[in-house]
Amino acid sequence: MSSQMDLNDVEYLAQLSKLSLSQKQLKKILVDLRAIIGHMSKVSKMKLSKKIPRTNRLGNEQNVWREDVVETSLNQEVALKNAKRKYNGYFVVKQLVRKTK
Amino acid sequence: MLMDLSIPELSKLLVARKISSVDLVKESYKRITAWDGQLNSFISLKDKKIAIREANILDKNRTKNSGALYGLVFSMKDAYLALGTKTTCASNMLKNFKSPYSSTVYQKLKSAGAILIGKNNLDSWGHGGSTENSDFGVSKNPWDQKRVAGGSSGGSAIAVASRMVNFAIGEDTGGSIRNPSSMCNISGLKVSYGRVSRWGTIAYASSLDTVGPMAKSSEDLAYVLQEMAGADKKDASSAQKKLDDYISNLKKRIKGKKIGLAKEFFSKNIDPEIEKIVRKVAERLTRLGAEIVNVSIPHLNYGISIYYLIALSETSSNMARYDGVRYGNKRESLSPETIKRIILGTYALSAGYADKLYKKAQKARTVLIDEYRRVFKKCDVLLAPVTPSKPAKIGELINDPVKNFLEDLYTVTVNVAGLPSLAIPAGFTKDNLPIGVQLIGERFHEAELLNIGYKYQQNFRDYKKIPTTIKN
Repeated sequence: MSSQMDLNDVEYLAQLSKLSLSQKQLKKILVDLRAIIGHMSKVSKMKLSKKIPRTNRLGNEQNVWREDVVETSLNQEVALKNAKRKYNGYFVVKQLVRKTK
Repeated sequence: MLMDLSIPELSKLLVARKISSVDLVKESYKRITAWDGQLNSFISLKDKKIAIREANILDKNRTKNSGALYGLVFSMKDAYLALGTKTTCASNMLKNFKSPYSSTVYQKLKSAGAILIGKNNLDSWGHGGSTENSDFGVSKNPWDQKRVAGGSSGGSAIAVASRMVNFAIGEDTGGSIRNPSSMCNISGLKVSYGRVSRWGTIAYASSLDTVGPMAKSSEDLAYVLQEMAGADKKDASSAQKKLDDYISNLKKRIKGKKIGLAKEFFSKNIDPEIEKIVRKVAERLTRLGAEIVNVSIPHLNYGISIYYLIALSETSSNMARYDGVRYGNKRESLSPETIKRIILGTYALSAGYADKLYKKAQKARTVLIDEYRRVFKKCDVLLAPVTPSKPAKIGELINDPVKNFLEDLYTVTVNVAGLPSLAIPAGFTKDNLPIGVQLIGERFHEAELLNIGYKYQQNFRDYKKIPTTIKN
């Protein structure tokens, strides 16, 4: 991506985000992104020593474990309840692998 | 009006059988029927007959030892699963999604005997600060219906402010409880990260999300927090730290408490009317025996950048699960604001940018945490404004993406540092719009914040005011 974001960049980001958007939507997003990105990237101007650690989580200082005991979870019927397409107790997804001749 | 009474007052009347939960439920539905058509606080409402049946059972089973929330009426932001209820997160993506299990917070409140009567409107996925980014319509501020109620927990704030419920549950990732609390003249508590379980909450940004109570006063918040807080084995990020007794701590003396004012919270963007109100609260606190200390958080102004880089990176990752296969509709049914946020997060995480943006923001996060830690060596709590501006006119923010982002400056760093913050009503602008302030504390110092809030509210009663238009 170049320093000034263009329509191709937005299209590429939408593709990475698994969103199919119209040209009109992409153009609108580009306008907003150009306005916001400067503010959002302000952190890149901060002078930080290499020694400063990254914080990626807050909370417990140690790993949290539980006993390795099987517990009841959602049953198949409940887990499938909100699915649009199901077959024989399974989710139906788009075919990913095709047979070659 | 029963809905105007505090939780301990109601509890006393209920236990003495002077009023019943059925009375409360009836009054709640009466107020919702009268006002919700205009204000749009609820996305879904329980069938009144079912709520009355639940109240009846509770009334029958009440004993002298029933807890404070037993038989009270509450609502939740529509980001929480409650078995059998629809949970939409205010998005068309989930408009038909039925909760297959219950969130821990709902389970806890239900076991305490509280009656869930409905789920409140929000900015979809928590993406916003005005409850305008909802696929279920804009929520309106009961103090001025041409203005926003704040967000993202706007619907919950309205339900409390217009006395439709006894309390509500919101969610705060960057200000989403404090901002609408301030704009609707109610009290709202953003808890320390890990104090309340997030199990069963729809995630916005997992390292920032917190589940908290919204109510009329600090006193009521203490009663609700006591029931909802605590470790949960289903949420590994919930803290093992022992709970304080929030209720008995309310009445402690606050003489000699050091209240910090950080100059960075009074930047050039702040509305002078708001600054005046915050300084008035500081002066009032000194009258109660507190001392004012001037402090500094030098990198606070980088807060927006740090917060948005982390929050949007996390949201782009969290939102990846919505593929429309197991539940929900297609990704393209997401609102323009949410799509924009996913794309920005993807940008911050993409090859060539992750080091410069996302990872750098995580380092800057460490810097901010340290700066807050240093400040709390000089004072007990910080007093700060909640937002730089008063409630905006509907449409004003959603059409100005930069202003929309900058509105969050005073709230977001609290989430970045994982601290608790209590928003309480503080006064009104010349045009009678409510303004709140926040008290920010050290991690897990909720009891201290509620104590100061309680003492303040015992002496200064702005929190008692309700909009004249919806009084009856």
